Amino acid sequence: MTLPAIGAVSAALPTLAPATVLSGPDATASAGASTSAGFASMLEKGINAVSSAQSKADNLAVQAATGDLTDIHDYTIAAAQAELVTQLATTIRTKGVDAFNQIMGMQA
Amino acid sequence: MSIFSAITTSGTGLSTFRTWIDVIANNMANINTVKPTSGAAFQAQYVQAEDIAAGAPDQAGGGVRVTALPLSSAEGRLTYQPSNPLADARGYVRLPDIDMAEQMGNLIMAQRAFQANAAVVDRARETYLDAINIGKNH
Repeated sequence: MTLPAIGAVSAALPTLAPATVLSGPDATASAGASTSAGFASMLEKGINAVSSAQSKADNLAVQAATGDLTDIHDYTIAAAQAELVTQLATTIRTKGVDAFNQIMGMQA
Repeated sequence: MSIFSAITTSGTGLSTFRTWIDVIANNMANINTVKPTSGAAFQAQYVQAEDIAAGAPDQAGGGVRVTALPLSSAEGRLTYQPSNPLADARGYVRLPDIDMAEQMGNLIMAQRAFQANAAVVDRARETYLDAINIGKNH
């Protein structure tokens, strides 16, 4: 059994490339193709948002260190957004893993 | 509108009011700048800002942006300073037409508005964290 939520997240996390949607037969059959693709693409967008927010904050941190930063708040805001986006992504991942573990722990 | 848009919106406010503080700093720094009567006096800068309109009627606006920095009068204050090396044949120079009290008042407004926007960023961050943490304490 595949869980598309975890598959999409784990496929995207190491490379930070656009996640490939795992379209298993149960994913399309159970809830309808549009729903599962919608959730997977939402996760994919979320991961991309994490990586872009983090790289933006990184760039601004370098600018702050080299003295090229004109607006201090640009960096602190980007850092706050990167923090929030990362927390959101890890929360979604934890929830997906929890659901997976609960199903795996079911007794026959 | 994107994710965590309240923080981005407040960021535009921070940028705008930082520009205002920069402009006031420049005006204050040049409050005694003397120019000869043959040219223009030092012209104080002012901030002209406009709202960033919402994309749809049911969406919040996108914040504020600086559109221009208009200048005050080029005539300035004609002042009689015959000992000034820049004085013309009749002994006049141009001083900038800047009201110190007005600039100080603007500075306080800019500072308070900057602080208010920074407070909104903090509050929005807390609120978003609350939303992220829904269901964590089960």
